[in-house]
Amino acid sequence: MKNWIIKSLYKLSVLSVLCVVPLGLPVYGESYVTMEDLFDEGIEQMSPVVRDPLEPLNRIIFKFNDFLYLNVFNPVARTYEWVTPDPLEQRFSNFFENLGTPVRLVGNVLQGKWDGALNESGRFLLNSTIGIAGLNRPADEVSFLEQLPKEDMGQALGSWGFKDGPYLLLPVLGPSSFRDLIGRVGDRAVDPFKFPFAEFDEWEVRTAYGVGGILVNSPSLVDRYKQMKGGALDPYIALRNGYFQYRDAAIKE
Amino acid sequence: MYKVILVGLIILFGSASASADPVEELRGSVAEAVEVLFGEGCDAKSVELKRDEVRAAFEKNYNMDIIIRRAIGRNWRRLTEDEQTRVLELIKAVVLKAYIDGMEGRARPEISYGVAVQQGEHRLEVPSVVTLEDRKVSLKYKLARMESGWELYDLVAEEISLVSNYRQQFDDHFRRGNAAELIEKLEGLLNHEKLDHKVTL
Repeated sequence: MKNWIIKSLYKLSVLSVLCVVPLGLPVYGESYVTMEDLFDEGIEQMSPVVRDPLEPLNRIIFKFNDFLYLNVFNPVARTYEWVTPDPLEQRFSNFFENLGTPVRLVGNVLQGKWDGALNESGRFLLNSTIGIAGLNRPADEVSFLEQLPKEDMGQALGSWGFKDGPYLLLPVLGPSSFRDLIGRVGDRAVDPFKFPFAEFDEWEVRTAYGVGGILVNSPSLVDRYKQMKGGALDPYIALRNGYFQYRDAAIKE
Repeated sequence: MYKVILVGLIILFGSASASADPVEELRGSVAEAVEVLFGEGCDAKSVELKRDEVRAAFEKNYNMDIIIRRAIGRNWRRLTEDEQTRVLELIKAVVLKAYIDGMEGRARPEISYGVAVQQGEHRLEVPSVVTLEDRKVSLKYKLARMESGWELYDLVAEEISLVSNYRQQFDDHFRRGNAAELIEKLEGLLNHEKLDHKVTL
């Protein structure tokens, strides 16, 4: 009896090996990555090169922003989340994202990303009409209009070969670089709601757009900021490094 | 004879299962950690217990020292043996604290995994998207096949490498400070009850 069980198990095991190996489980051979391989890797080469000649000034602005984000934006974001029902919150967020189409469209065009430009145009048309002024996102249901990564003029400048330049920490707005600051000015130029190139003369409209945009984005921004800061040895360096890594990846994409 | 071959096959399968499907292994560890934080009875657990259980879920399959050693980089040699041990422990605790604090009070996240991409002969990148309430976060796990099995050697959240981010922080610290100050800083971070309590201007 015992012998029969052993024989059966043996047959089963052989059969399993014969079945499993051809099914495509990867075979990696006998060599391995060693600890030394991993520890000696040039992480510096993977990390973005950061120039921060304004660090003393940037650190002062960091303190100011830190205070602002945690003591003004954070309660505002929490209150906004508390008073706004989730479906409405999502719709407001959709609305402002839809209004940001011109910036993303120009960012795509300047980089010669025609698929992205068509995608942004298609999404804008569909979301603005069937989606009722962008409050809903019917474009998400269309397979060829799925949301692509966002593009802007800073990325376009980067893709043309412009280096980041010095790191800049902007009051309220947060991390940037010399190149991305120029990009921001360009972005404002194509944004019909933003000063000084706004298509709308009424300050009320521009203010509502600015405040509304900050309000709907604040919960997500504050959460990200707190998450970044939570485990950071030096939040200033963590934010700076994170910003450059993120922008580098967006430009290389 | 059968017995010998059977034992051989069991050993073969035993070792193969440790390295055969790194993605399943990873998903298992992540699912276990999420279960600790959002599963049944999670509200009754203390934060310390949650930390211990999340840590155990990852350390069952992965040697977390690898990520931390990579993050510390060449600064490792500036630490004495005792300092190395202390720093490893403190960083693990700080990272876990940040992870658990970030999840607290939230709805259970949904995690979807993409197709793993082989990078070179012995490395894999496993992409995933974590949906935290209405926010999607892309998270890539970088795995390397080592003698001990598949090990996690970096985590990339929203295109930001954890190793690279911490490396720059450590490099900057050691340009101005020493190991004792690093330990003091890490202990300070760990003893902060909540991030929001720190108000500076």
